[in-house]
Amino acid sequence: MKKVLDPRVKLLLLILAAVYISIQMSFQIELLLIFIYVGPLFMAGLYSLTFIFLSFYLFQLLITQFVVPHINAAFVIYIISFLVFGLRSLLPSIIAGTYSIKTTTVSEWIATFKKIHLPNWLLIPLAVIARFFPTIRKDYQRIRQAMAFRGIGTGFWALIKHPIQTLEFILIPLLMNATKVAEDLTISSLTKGLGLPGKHTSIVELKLTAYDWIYIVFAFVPLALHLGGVFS
Amino acid sequence: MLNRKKKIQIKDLVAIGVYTALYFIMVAISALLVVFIIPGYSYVFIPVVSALLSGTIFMLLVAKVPRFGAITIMGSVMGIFFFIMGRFPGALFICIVIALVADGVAYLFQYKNKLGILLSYLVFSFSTIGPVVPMFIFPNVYVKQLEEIGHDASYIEGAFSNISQTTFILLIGGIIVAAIIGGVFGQKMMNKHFEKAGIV
Repeated sequence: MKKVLDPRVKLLLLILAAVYISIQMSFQIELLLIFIYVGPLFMAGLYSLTFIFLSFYLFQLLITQFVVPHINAAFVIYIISFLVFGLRSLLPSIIAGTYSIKTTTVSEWIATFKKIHLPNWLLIPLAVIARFFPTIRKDYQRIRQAMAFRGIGTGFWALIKHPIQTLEFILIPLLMNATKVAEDLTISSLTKGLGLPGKHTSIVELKLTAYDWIYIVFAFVPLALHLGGVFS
Repeated sequence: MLNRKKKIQIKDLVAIGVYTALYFIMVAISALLVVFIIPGYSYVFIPVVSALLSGTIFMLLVAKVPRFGAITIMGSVMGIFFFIMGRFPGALFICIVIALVADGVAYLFQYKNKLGILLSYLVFSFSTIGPVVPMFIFPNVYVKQLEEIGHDASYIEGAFSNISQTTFILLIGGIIVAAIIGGVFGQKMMNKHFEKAGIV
């Protein structure tokens, strides 16, 4: 049975990941942390992602152990260090981010933002962006087709060979469209009562289940262990 | 300035959302382009490419919503995106602060003066360095860990700070040049297409 965390817990995981970045924890705690963060991916049935992240972490550990001691070129060490140390501390954050994006629908995000009382001036643009992304894709495809009809900018290298032209021919129609879409979206959402005061209902219902609460506790465990000086 | 409300309305928020979506896509495209060229290291220069490409979007935003808050909101939403994607969390803070400053600059020029808006775009273009900052802050952390494995500390430290500094200067310089080029291009586009079509 596949289970997914409440979006608010996902946000908590993201925020805590930010805290974990700045902590220099001992190896055992870090290992535990990675497993805790990969857990939700596994529980949601995203097995290949689970495998990818775990292997990447293993890869980082192996390189740290066996490769880094032997390289001496400074520039190479710089890049490898970022991949192996910097990215390692960023890993929980990236895992949480990937999980959030893969398992949350737009409606859920909007409902979450409303529940945590995110102000209108953030909520509305975010909702608009979400509704707008699929439209952009379609527009882009139509524009490329129109361009192909006229023999402009076909092929992948077009951007490199005629950068200004390609940019102008794709970007401007997209922007013009965007402006029109903005007008339409405003009218339709105002008609649906966007600007009105009072409580707005939502199709998505958010509830915290036992699974969520367990994870809320789990998320803090590495922090507690670290502060408690365990495994130091 | 007479009848125009000075505060941001709902229709402005929708417009801001739309342009932010496009700005985000430009950043994503920049990331793709940059990674194709030199994988690994060139990640640092994503802000440069995005500054080059996003001028028109910014100019349109300012033309359509010439009130305080538009630029700030666009930057903040970008920051939220970075956060939700799991990028360096400081990026959120950086985005908001830089967007605020950029908004302030544009405000000083009343969102009309072309040079002022260009300056504002220049400032705003720095907001995308958020996710890249770890590459500059972390080296100190690496040094300790590298030491533990047995590398010579002073050599590493010296080399790292060198590379860091050079990269940093290249990045800042690159953003400034790219923002100027991208901004002027954006303003030209505004002139050529949007003003004539009466959209602005």
